Amino acid sequence: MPTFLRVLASRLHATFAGRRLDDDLDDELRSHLAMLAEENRRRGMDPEEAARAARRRLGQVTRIKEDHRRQRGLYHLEILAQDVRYALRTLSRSPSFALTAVATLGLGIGAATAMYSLVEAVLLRPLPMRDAHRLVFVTGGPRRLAEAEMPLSAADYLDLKAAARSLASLAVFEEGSVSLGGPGGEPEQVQAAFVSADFFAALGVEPALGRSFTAEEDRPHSTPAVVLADRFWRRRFGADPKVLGRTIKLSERNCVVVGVLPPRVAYPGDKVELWRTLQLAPPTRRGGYFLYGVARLAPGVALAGARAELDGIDRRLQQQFPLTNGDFAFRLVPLQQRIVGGARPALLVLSGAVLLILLIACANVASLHLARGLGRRGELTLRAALGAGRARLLRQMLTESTVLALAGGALGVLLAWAELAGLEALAPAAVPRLAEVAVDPSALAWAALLALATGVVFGLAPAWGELGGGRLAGALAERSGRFTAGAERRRLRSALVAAEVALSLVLLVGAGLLLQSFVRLTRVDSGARPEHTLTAHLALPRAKYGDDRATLAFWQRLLERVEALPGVAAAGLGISLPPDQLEVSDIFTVEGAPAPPPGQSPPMANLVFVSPGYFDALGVRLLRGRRFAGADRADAPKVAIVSESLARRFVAAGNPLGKRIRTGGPERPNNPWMEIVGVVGDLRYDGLALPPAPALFQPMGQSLWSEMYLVVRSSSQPAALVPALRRVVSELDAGLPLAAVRTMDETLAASVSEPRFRTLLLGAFSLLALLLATVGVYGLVAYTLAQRTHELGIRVALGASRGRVLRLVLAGGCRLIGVGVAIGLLASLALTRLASSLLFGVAATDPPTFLAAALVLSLVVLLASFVPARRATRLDPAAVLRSE
Amino acid sequence: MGTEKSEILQGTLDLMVLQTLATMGPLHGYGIARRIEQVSEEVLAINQGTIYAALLRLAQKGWISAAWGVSENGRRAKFYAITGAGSRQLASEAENWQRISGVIGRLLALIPRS
Repeated sequence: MPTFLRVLASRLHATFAGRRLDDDLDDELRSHLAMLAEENRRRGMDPEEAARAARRRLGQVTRIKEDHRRQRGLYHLEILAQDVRYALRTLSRSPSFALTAVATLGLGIGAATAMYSLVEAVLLRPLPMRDAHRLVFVTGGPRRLAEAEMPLSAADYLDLKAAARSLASLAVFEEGSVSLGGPGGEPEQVQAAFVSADFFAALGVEPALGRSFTAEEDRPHSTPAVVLADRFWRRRFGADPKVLGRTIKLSERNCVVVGVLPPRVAYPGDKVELWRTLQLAPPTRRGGYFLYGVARLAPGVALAGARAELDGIDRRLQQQFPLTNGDFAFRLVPLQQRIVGGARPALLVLSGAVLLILLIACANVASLHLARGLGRRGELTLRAALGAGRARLLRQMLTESTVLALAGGALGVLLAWAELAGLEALAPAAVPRLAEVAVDPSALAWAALLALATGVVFGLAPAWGELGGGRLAGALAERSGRFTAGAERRRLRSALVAAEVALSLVLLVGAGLLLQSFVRLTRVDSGARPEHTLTAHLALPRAKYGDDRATLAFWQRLLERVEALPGVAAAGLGISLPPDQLEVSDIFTVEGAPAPPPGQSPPMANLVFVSPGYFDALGVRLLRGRRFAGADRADAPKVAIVSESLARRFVAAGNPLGKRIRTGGPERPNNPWMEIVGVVGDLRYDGLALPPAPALFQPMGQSLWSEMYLVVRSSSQPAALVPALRRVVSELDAGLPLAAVRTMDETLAASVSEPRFRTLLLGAFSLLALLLATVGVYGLVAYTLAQRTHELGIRVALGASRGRVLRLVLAGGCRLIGVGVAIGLLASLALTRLASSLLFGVAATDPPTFLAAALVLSLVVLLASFVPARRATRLDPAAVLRSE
Repeated sequence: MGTEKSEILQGTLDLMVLQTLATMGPLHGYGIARRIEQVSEEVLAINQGTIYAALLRLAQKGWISAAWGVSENGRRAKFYAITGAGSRQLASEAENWQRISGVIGRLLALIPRS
């Protein structure tokens, strides 16, 4: 063994055997002294003299032991352990300081880490696909509306695929649902994506099990192939690898399973449970917009280059097909931006909020340290005067603040972990990529570093100030308490607390604005009466309900049976559902209305095919004319009902009843004219935040659809109807799943889940900020008071009234709050506009919100300073003066 | 006091302890200190306590071993003995020392006296 290793081993051993080695050395030194004394006695000294001389000869025993100890073990480690032990002891003597500091740091670090982990996973991390930054999302839309991203038609897709050189691969998909029957469970509706064969190749995703699709499997009339999502594979097939090659029935059609994707890879969404080949038939016309594209930029091509090429293709198609493509343009967006772009503003605002919280937490800790330093100056100066080295004292302070920061950091990790779990549970489906979220080590490291730096800098400040050269005597004199101490430091502390107040106000104002928006959003009238209403979704498989007669017969039988159930007041079917389940919209023409100016598209309306009972079941008001009836069949005259806003904006003045209307543009001149027989109240199908679009209703008997929402209005609790509904459906078709069964109230709540999520989160953040600021103000006032006890005692003794003392004490706090609130209001004015895209029905500078937030904050922190101030009025002047 | 007592270097003390143990056999701390004082004819007066840091250093390097025993006067004492590694170290250090002291002696001889 090399000598240095032997030494290290011996030192390590000694570190842990310290006490025994001390005893050993004691014994040895005692025997040495005895031998020396014996020798001295032999030389004729008397015993006492002999012992004294022996001690002189040996030297200072404590020094020998200290040298021995230093040589023996890991000296620095032992000193560190000693410092830490001492720090823990000191901190445990002021538990309220220690707990407040640790809790403050923990809350700040926890919130910041959780939020940044969320942002990192959702916004910043590349998608889990090969070279994800080269992927683009392909849509189209009217040339005039640069923002519109609408699906492509099959014809446009095929033309683009054939022409575009800058897109290395262009795949398309359509989202939908299929019913899955057969072994492994009840029939259920599963979320599916119908994709072209090259879909996974374009994305750069390899199945974890099996393979991707072949071109043959994508040909119409061949057996479709299916790739399963990992979660679905585990849930429905028990993670059985033998599922590969098995035939499953999707919407009554045989499909073969060829692969399973890796976990956490899901495009176009986390909800998709399986991917099936699209089997796109050669288009017979240019319209029919239902495909979204994903493509990989060709090597060496930038996004701008690809866009330029697509412009050229647009122009060529424009000349070739002026009717459909006259106003059409392809659009490219980076795929990542498309996926997470919607969540971006809210997440950025929320991360700004946690940054403010972290700042408040740091200010709080700094202020705590400053206060404590002031209180400890006595101890410090005394120790310095007794000979403790300055470096030793600094090291002690450093150890203390580091211990605090580490404890706060540890608490922060726990909190971040718990908060992320909570966030995931709370976050709505609208937050993309949630499956990828985990506590992010780098976010944690940054937050901890900031906290550590704050702790160290402000923890050392008192020691630095106290021990500065030549201050010792002054500090000792001040220690007697008869000088007002540390005015400079108190100013710094006041500034910190004022900053906390200002920052919390910004958060409170932001939360207030979001809360207002949320309340206004939930008060928006969807057009339907949601109470006592139950909805569900049914999709009739084309393979089983091939012709219109069978489909219509099923829908009619279903309605008859449901209406006959006890407790059902009304029942209806419709392809779209308020507030945000919109299936179809189309352009329309009112007979006799002037044609749109050249280059402009005709108006658009939501197109809803409904059964006669749809309006009653939803509680929609009939304003004029009549509802649909069973007699509105395919062979009867074509009829339509329009919404109030369509009638008002697009039907020439006068009575809309009896006027004729037609869907489809000039491209489809064969669409029949329909007579308007009724006008109903406006319904929102595009979410509560958007104004209702014009709507055009057609009777189910004349426009049949194989996927419908069932709407049932009950006379009592709607949820009680669910078992009966399921029984009715399974009696009619045992293989047909009844999906998305929800009350209308639940649907409405779900439609605002994203705003609710951010409102809750920002609300929680602002409460946290308020709490921290309150702690800060309380601490400052209480501390200032403790410093001024002597002065206040004299004032009371000289006859100052309680009210006067209270005013005196509160005055300082009020000034502080006033300054903080003023700065906070200005900062809010500057900052809230950044959140304006999240607001609904309220201005970013809404004066009542600003006022209310300022008032709440002022009251709470005033209360926080009132509590210690009241204590000051109860001062017993005699006791105060005696204690001097 | 008439004669200045020399400060001794740490390494020198270690060397003297090793040499003492090599010539005298196992010895306790007091014995080692006494022996060094006698040999140096009281020129090197040490605080006898400093011997213990040297003993610890040598033990850590594995050059000496220690065990509790009974002294010639029937007193319990810790006895130190040189190990094989210690003897080898002593041999090389002694050679080194002689070479250096020779060099220094020659060097000092060159310096003209004032």
